[in-house]
Amino acid sequence: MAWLRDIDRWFGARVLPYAANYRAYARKLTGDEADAEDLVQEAYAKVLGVAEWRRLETPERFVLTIIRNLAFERFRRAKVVAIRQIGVLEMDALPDPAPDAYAVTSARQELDLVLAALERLPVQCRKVLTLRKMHGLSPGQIAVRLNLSVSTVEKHLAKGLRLLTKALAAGDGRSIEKRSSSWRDRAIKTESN
Amino acid sequence: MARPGDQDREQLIAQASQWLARLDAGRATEQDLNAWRDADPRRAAAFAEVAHAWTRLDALRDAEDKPRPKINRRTWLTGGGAALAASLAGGAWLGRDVLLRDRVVTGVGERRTLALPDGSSVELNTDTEVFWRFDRARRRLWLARGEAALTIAQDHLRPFELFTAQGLARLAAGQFNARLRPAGLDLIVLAGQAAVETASSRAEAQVIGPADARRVLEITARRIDVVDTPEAQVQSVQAWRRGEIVFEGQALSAAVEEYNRYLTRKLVIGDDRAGRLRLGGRFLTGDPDSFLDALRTTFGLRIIDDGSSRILLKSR
Repeated sequence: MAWLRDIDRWFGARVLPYAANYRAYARKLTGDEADAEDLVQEAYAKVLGVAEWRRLETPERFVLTIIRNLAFERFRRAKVVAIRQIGVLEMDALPDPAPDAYAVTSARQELDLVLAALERLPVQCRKVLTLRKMHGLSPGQIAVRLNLSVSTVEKHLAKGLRLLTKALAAGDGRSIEKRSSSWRDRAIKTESN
Repeated sequence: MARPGDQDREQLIAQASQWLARLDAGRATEQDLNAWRDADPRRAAAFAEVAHAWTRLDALRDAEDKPRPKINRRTWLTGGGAALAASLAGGAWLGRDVLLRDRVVTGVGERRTLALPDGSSVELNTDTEVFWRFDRARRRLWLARGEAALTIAQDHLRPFELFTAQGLARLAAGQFNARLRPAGLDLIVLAGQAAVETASSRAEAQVIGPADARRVLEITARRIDVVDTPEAQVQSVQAWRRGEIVFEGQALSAAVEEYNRYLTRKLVIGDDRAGRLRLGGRFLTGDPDSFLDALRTTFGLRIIDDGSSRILLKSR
């Protein structure tokens, strides 16, 4: 898999686990779902362009900073800025990214997550991805086994991967939203101790 | 109606998925990919995200390797996945208790000792984060980031369990050092016994008598290696508990990376020649100046201070 660069691996391991934090923060700044998604994507693109990425101590905070700067730039360009948004930008320090549920889940939980996402795929996509990744068959072998053409196998792989990428991203989000309230609870609990 | 931002993302993810499938089928080359990817930084991001999902699917291979109640392949392919998922979920390790854990962190350059109610103690090295929760049935500690030295007290009724992203380690009374690295978890058994379990494998290591070799369990999602470790190396790993850092012939590039764990103002190697120098010695983690002095005098390095970092250069 020469096409998977070190930076891609790093991006997956160190940046993406905090995806829900980025989205929540971007939503807070922009107040708009689509704009927020846009900011996050732009921030991702910027991080992947950092030559010195290996030296980023806390990449998640770096991404949050980029999001804030991008939002600020947009507000400056916009003719009318909602007062609410100015307030957020000036008052708010960077949120402390909660160590994401994903970072402390066990390998077994990760497996459950992946299996659950896989379950919801269309049958053919699931079959092809399972044969490819669980049984390690090549696309050519899968084509023979399922009596399909290689290009059809490829189409199912691509479709399955597309759906899975979105499902896994959404799954991470859910687990964080739940925890963010619990974090507050815990902080209160610790103080009262 | 789909919003513009969402639509872009949809499309990018779809394209990136196609690329990955095409590469996987050998119907596109890396050069083809690069041409597409380099044209727009957003494509690089979408591709990295899809590649991450693809990598996460590797968890399935580990599941397949693991001996477990037999599941007919055909059943699985035609929707028996629920049964498999259920059999693997048996652990249910975290559950609701996650919400009730206590959290202890150290910043960069900080050390802290956490005294636990059972008499065990956990020493946190720089930039470390742990959670813990004890109840009637068990004692659980989660290492989320960094490095910790664990001294585990005896409690026959409540096993001590250490959790990391890689898996679970059951620790008997004894002494351990756990360090998370980008590649996985290094668990050193200094005394006592550890049994490690990940989604794909299991391993055990024990150190009973003083003559026994100390063992390192190198744990990644895919495999566990048990390695005997020379005493000198154990000592240098443990040096951090005294606020020291020990180098024994490492390349300067590796030494600086290690030292930087303790520094908010990082050291940077300015030229390759300097990075290849090898060095040994014992330094204080809290006093980088003595380290820099040694480099200056022993190796004749020039050090440029640019405020946010310090850059090491080989002179001449």
